Amino acid sequence: MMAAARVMDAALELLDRQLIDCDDRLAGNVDDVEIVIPDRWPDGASGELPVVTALLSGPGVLAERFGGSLGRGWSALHRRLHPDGALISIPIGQVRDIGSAIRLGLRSDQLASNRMEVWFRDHVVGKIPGAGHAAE
Amino acid sequence: MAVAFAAIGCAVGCVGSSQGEADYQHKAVATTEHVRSSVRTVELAVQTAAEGDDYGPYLSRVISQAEDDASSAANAFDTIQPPGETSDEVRDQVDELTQQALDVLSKARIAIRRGDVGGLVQLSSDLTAAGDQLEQFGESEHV
Amino acid sequence: MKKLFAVTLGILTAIGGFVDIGDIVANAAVGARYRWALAWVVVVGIIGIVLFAEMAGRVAAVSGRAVFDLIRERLGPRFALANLIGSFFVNLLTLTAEIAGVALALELATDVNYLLWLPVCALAVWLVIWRVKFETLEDVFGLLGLAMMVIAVTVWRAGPDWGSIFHEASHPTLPPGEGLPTYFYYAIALFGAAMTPYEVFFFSSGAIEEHWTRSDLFVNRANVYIGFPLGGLLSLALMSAAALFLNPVGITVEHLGQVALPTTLVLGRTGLAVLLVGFFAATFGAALETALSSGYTVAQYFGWQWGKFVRPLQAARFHTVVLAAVIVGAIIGLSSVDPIKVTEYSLIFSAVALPLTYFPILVVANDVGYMGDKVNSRLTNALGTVYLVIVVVAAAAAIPLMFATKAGA
Repeated sequence: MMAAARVMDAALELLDRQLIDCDDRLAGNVDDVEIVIPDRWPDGASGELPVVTALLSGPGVLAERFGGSLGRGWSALHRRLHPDGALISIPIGQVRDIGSAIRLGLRSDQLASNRMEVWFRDHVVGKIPGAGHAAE
Repeated sequence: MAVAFAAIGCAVGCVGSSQGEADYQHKAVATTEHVRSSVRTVELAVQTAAEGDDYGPYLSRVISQAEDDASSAANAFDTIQPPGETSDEVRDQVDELTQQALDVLSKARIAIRRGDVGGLVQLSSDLTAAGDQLEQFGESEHV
Repeated sequence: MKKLFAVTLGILTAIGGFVDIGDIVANAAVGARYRWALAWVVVVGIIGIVLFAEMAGRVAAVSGRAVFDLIRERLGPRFALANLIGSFFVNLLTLTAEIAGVALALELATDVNYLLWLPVCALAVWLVIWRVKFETLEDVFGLLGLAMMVIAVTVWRAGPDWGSIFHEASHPTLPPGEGLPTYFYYAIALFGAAMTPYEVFFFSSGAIEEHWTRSDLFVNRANVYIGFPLGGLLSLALMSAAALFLNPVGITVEHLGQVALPTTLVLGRTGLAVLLVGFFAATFGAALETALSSGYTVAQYFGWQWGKFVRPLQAARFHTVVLAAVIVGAIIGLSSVDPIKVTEYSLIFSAVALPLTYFPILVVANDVGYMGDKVNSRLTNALGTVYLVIVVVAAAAAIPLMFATKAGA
């Protein structure tokens, strides 16, 4: 696998990119990136390097990244709406391709960032006649 | 200079307490120019009607909108307090001119609503006269 | 037939930008007031929008990413949110005005007060977005909007002295009694109209609705090079008709009805009928463009599924935003605000949002990771940079000029 390695700028090439699921549906943005830093790095001489382990996606995550009073307010609102606090973490192993968008090997309905979509589908758009038909 | 010019262009939108004679005069000119624009609009509409085509509701719409505009410009001017006695003369002049114009505009509206194209076309010279008088006032008072 | 229809996206986008309800009236008002002294702004605007719409379309075709995706990616979530809020606000104001504009066009044709038409128009706009395929929508309203060309025919038939028009346009002078600040206020409004951000939002999203790929780069160029200059031409025609017929008698243009007077005089009732169809199609098209754009921008910022290429159920949040925008637009419209004033203000606010939209496009159009060998040429970059400077100057001057001139009074 080392042969396929390429140098990436995680902030530029991962953050804020579009996620696309295995059915070609748009599935949120990369709102943050989870990086595991080895113990006592960089002095710990164990030879291990920091590793990107997951992509994080969802409005709660975005709120944390905003910081400031806007971020705090948004974050608090999000916790009220979703008290279970489920964070949307997509293991890096589910990433199939990184390009102008990031393709995932899973379906968007497995992602918690999809919950709001489901709510609007069930309570708003799904109630309007013709919602299930393709346009003509 | 630029500020003064901007004020001349100012019509119905900026009626406030009038500061001084010059300001009042600017507003008088702006009002007559506004009313003149309405009169000329109706003049063009009448010219169109004279050609005999049936324009449906379009001309009637244009004429009543012009009448509304002119009357709100005239009303707005009337609410301004003239700053001194010399301004009263300006006020009387503007009142007389705009009232004349509004009369013709109302007649035009009545004629078109009744479908009386002949009557409408007869108003043509009155409209021209009203427009010309308003224009002359603007030119004579322009400082 | 397919070939002819392939450029309707560009035409519809440009009509929404150059000749929506506010621009129809603003162009005529400028022509009646300044004759051709501001024609150069339209030309500057056409070149600018052609430049950036081509980039936006190319990025969409090559990378599959629409403009608001790029904005968040290159400016980060904070600046992108500022742009989103600003653009959404402008969009909503414009949508309000366009729905009212459709109603105003119907009012001229029927003499029924536009406030009665307004709810019907809002419902019609939403139904078209809900039920009609993107390709059908752009073909129908792009082609119907061409009825506005009757204004150009009016000018042509009036047989003006082209030499002196060209002279006035190339040697702009202020009419007596007019000040420079007001002149530049209108210049920025016209420039803002040509380059309104929702044009690139709509155009690039439309490219993705149509599934453009690398092999459609030719279609992109055809759309841009035909559609936008056509929009600009209509804008110049409106200005010229007013300069020829309304300026000499001292008419100040405030209503849609006055804009139609020159055509009615020159071409009679057929001309008027065609023009009213044009007014209807242009404002309806612009309403569709702004309603969809409000959904596109929000959905792209958050990465939601969007677009008419999936069933509404599969893009629930997108359709909710569009529906909400149409409802709010209709409510604001019903409060009987003057729709023409609303677009004039929104043009000035959109001038402020311009840099935050065009800068990311220029950056990404140079990114090899996105574009491969389709990055900008050196000439495009040079022009793009010049325009970015113009856009920043216009944005900085817009609000102060609005206050200094009492919005062009």
